Amino acid sequence: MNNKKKTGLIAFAVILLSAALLCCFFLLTAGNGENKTAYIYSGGELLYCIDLSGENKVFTVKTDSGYNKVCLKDGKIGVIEADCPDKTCIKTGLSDSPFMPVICMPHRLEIVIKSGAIETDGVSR
Amino acid sequence: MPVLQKCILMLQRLIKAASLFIAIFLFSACSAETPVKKSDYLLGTIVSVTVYGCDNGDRIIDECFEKVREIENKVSVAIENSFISELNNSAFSCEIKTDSEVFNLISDSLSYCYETGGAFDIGLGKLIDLWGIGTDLQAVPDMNKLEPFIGFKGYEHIKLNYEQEALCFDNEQVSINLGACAKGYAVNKAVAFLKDKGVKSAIIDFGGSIYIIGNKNGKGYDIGIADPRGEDVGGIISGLSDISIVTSGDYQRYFEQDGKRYHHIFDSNTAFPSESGVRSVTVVCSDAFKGDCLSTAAFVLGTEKGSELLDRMNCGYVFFTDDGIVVSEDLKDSFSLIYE
Repeated sequence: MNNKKKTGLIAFAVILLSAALLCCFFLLTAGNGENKTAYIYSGGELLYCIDLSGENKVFTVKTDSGYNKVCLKDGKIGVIEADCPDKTCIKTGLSDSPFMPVICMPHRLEIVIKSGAIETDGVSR
Repeated sequence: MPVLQKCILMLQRLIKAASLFIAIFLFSACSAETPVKKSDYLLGTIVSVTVYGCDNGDRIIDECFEKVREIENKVSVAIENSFISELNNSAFSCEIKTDSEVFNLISDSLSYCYETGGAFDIGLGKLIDLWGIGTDLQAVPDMNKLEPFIGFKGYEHIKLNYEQEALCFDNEQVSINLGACAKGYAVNKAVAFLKDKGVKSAIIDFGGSIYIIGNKNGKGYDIGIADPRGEDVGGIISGLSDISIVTSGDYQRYFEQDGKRYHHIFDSNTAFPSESGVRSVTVVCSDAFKGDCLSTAAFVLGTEKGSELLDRMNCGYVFFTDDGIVVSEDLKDSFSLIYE
């Protein structure tokens, strides 16, 4: 292997390693110490926004396809009961990570977590 | 050249490229798209205007506030020599010529009084004064004083002379108070002024009566609706542009006496604050004045009759009531509830 190829490979390895380290850093620290909000979509339509720092609660989201019982506990949110056939949403467990949404494919339900408080451009009162 | 040196050189080039990219990004973020926001205290509330993508936004907003101040000086009952105060002092059984803008505003307001059967009534100024909500004297008045106002429709006693732009009251109990519609009127005037100045994107927020001009970076604006029983936002309407959002609620101006809440929106059938079960109603339509008048009316009428009225008048709405939330068909896709 000539010097040029060696240099290229080492540079590539350094960049790859840096990228991996950066990813780990962001995954581990994303949203830490910030407010987080869960956005619950059904069929792509936003139904609810929930502040994850709020009180623990359980509530049911009903759609034409069935129901999902959603639980907010200690800053994490997920599905704890559903009448979907595969129960993948329940197996996902509770999440507080923007990188780990909770999805129920049969019911087209999606719980997406975003860092930051609920934001609006103004408040009508 | 040694391998390590070449690596360092390559990394230096990468860092330079990244720095250039970041610099370009930062520079573009500080272009004319940076919003200019200013606030003032007018019409008895905090008014604010935010304009986007406008080089002379600061000056335009100042001029806009000046226009609103002119309106306040004409219509506020808190200003002794306003046109409305003059009318309230002198118009009983005596025709008084008034300012053209004020006359037209009263005339337009009366149209909504009749349209809503008095659920919105600009002629109840004396009843409002009697309760004194928001003042040091706020208290449930003596029933003796309230009795003459039970079932009293003030607007029916305001007589207009269109030729002379004059008016008179044919009943001594009448007093005009435009508090339920002046903000909406001022919002409309501010919108017209800003558009005239070439503003393409802005948020006009006069004490929670909001108008959205244009959009933000190609997307509509997201406007929250205050939670009537909390401190935060109770719901969000997303993707709004070129539209007004006006809310009437029982939670901003009220007092409590003997464990009961007495708010500032009155039902002329009882002479008491409305008890329709509505905590707040948000009206979404293209005209802030219309939204202001109709949100008050819908609040008094309650969910069933109020939603009928708003459907008939082509307005979107969100009711927060004692029993839950009612959203108009046209807003169902864009409304989301903040789950408490």
